[in-house]
Amino acid sequence: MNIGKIRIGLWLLVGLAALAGLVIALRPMPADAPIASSGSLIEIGGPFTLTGTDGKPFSSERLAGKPFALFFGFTSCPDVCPTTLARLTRLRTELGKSDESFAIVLVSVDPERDTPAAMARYAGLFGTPVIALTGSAAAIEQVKKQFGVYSAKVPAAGGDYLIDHTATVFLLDRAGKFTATISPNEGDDAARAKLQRLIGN
Amino acid sequence: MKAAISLLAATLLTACTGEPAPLVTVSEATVIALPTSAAVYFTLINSGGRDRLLSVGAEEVGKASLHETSMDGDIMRMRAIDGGIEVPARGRVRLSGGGRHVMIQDLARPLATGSSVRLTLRFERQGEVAINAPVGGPR
Repeated sequence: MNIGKIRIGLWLLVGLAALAGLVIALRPMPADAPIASSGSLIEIGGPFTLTGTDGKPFSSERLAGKPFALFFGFTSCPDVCPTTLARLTRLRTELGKSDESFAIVLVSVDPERDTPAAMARYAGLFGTPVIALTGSAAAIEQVKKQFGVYSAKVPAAGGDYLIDHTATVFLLDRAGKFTATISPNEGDDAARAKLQRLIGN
Repeated sequence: MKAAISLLAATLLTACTGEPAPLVTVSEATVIALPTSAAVYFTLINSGGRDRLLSVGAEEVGKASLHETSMDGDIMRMRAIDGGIEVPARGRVRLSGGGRHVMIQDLARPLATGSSVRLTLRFERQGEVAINAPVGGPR
């Protein structure tokens, strides 16, 4: 076989590949091809019912009329959870608005250990109103799903466990509509600006 | 006298291993107390040779262990630290919120703000160092 024949063969292959590409590109798109359908966007938030620190059902309707910052945690998490909560309470004070300017809502991801009484003790540490909610495993699972939140138990020393979880703070306006998030990696300035926007002027 | 013995021990250690003895001090210790658990943060300042913090005990108040919080995207993960924390020669190691820390679980009683907790830090080379860490609320 000489070089010329090989070259012709290779060019034939290139031609075939180009033709195949053209056929694929010109194939008519199905009319219902979802490119960007607003209906497929995941809605964050929505109504929920959990359990308040008094042990009674707490409906998200009670949050209506005031913006709120909601995040997930568990009371036996001594490191990041209290830091997040303490930061929110500090920023609320720094914004110079009253405790009524926006509500701070903590939802437990540890229904096994976080009884309403445990939530009450925990919320009481911050010296400012914090709405601390727990609930049945199913109710909490539902709220986690509404916010796209992940949590998973990890074993700790002595048969204990800890919980890995989404540490994002969700900001919702007075109509309960999701507006923004605050990530734990974000600095105070960015977080303060978002809260300022949330509570309006 | 005690200092002289320490110095002698340090000199001997250096002589035996060929590595300078560690001299780790603990500063800025603070306990963040919650109703059933607590986190402890501190800075280790080593003005000698390398060492390793193997474990921390808080026997009077609960079960202490070395832990590390890390962010994986938006997910906070917490794991026990196996094998301790290296303290480099003439180095500084900070245990702080959202990173490496001591976690105390199963508190026998809630820790009062303003009280202090006795902790024993166990080092691979330097041995035990006892400290009293003041208790504060979450911040």
